[in-house]
Amino acid sequence: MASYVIIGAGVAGTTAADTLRKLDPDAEITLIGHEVHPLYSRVLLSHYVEGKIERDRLFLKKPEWYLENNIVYMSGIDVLEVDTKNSFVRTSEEREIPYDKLLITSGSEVRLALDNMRGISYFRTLEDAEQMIGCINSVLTQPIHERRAIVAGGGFVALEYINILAHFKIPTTVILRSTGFWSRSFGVEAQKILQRHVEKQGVQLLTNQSTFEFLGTEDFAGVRLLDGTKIKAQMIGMAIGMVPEVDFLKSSGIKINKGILANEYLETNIENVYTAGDVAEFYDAIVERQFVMGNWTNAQMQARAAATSMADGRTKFELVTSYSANLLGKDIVFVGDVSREHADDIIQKRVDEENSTEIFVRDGRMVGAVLVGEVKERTKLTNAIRERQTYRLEVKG
Amino acid sequence: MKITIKVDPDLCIGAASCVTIADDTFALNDENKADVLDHGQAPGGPSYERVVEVTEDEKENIILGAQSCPTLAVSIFNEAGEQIFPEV
Repeated sequence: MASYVIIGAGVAGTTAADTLRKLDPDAEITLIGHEVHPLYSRVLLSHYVEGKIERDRLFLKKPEWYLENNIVYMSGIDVLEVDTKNSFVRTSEEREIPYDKLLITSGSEVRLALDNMRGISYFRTLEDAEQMIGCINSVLTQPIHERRAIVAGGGFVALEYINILAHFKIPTTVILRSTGFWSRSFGVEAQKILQRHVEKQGVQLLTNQSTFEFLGTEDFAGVRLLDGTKIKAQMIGMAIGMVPEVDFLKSSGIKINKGILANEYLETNIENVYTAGDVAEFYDAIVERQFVMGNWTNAQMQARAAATSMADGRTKFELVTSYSANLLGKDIVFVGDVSREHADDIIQKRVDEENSTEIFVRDGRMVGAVLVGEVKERTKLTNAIRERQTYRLEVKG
Repeated sequence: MKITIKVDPDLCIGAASCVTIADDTFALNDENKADVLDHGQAPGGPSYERVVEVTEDEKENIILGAQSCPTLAVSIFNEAGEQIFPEV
C-alpha cells in the first residue's frame, strides 16, 4: 500500500489529496497544514471582508470530508524538516512521518514589514481577513474627514485592498515603489490607464517611492515619505509581495531557486518528491520557461498533474496559465508568460484611453498577453499561445 | 440524464478554472464571465444557465469543473431539481 504525504493543505494540497484518493482507493494519504481550517477559498476572502458573504460560505470542504475520504488531515501543524535520504518529514509536534512519495505544496508567505503596530494589515489567510475587518472598523470610528488608509504595493493584493477600501468609502493612498501597477508586466500605457482610472475614483497614487517610514508607536499613524512628506492614516495594507515558503527544506537536498525547482512533470531533483502550486518554480512546457506562478487555477491543475504523476505514471503539466482581476470596475487579464524581463519583444497591439492589449513575444512566437479594459480577446489569445502560434499568424487570425 | 448548470455572473470572476477542466460546458464570454454551453454549442445564444443531456462521465467532469471554481459560482441540479453541487 502506497503512502503519500502532502505538505500544505491549501487548494493545491487538498486537490492533490482528492486526486490521489480517486486514483488509489487504498493508499495512506496524510495532509499536513499550517492552518487550522478545512479548505477555504482565499479568493472569496475579499467578499467576506466586504460583508457580501457569510464566513461559512468561504469553506470549500466540510470538516467531515477528510474523514469520509480517509485522508489524515493534520491541521495546525508545521513541517520542520524533510529528510529525503530516509524518506520522512519531521513535524512541529516532533513526529516523524514516513512517506513513499512526497508532495510539497507549502505555498507562499507575505513579506512582512519591519514594524509591528496595530493598524498594519496583511491579506493572505482567513485570520488576516478577520484582522483587516478589525482595522477597517477602527478607521470607521474616526470622523469622516480624518479617515485614510494606505496601501503599499501594486499587485493583486494591493488591488484587493483598493477595492475593499473603496467599498467602505475610506479615502486611500497607494504607495508604489515602481512607476505604476504591475510594472513587471504592464507597459507605460496600461499603467497610465489604470492610474487615471483609480485617480478618477479618488484614490491617490504615489509612484516611484523607493521607501517610506511608519509613523506611530503602538498604533499605526501614517507614513513619512523619503522627501519628508507625512501622510496621516489609521491603517496600512501591506501588499509588498509574496515569498515561497521553503525555509524548512534547507537541509533536504531539494533544489531551490525562487521556489522549489521542478520539471514539467512537477518532479523535483529528488526522486519521489514532487511539488505544485505557489511554491513551485516549474518548467512551463508551453512557453518553455521555468518560473513561479501563484494563482488558484494553476495551483489546482498542477496539483492534479502532480498527483497523477505520483499515483498513475508521469503526467505532463500543460496549461496556458491565465488569471484575471478587477480594479474598481476595470478588468485586467494576464495570459501565459507576462514577464517583461523575459520577453524578446512586447507589442502594444491595442491602446486607447480605456483599453490596452500587449503581446509578449519570445523566440518568434507569442508567449503571453496582458489586457486592460476590454478583455474579450482573452480566449483567442490563450488559444494562440497554446497552439504556439507565431505572432505574425496571430495578427492575421 | 439531464442536469441543469447555472453560473452566477455576480460571483464569477473569470478565473477560468471551469473552462480549463470542462471546455465543452464552459466558455468565457466578452464580459470575462463563464457562459454555459451544451457540448460546445450555444443553442439559442449565450446563457448563464442551461439544461444539458449528459453521460455519467460527462456529469462527473462538469462537477469537477464546478468544484474548481474559487468563488463557487457554478451550481448543478439533477432532473428532480435537487442541487447536487455545491452540496447543501
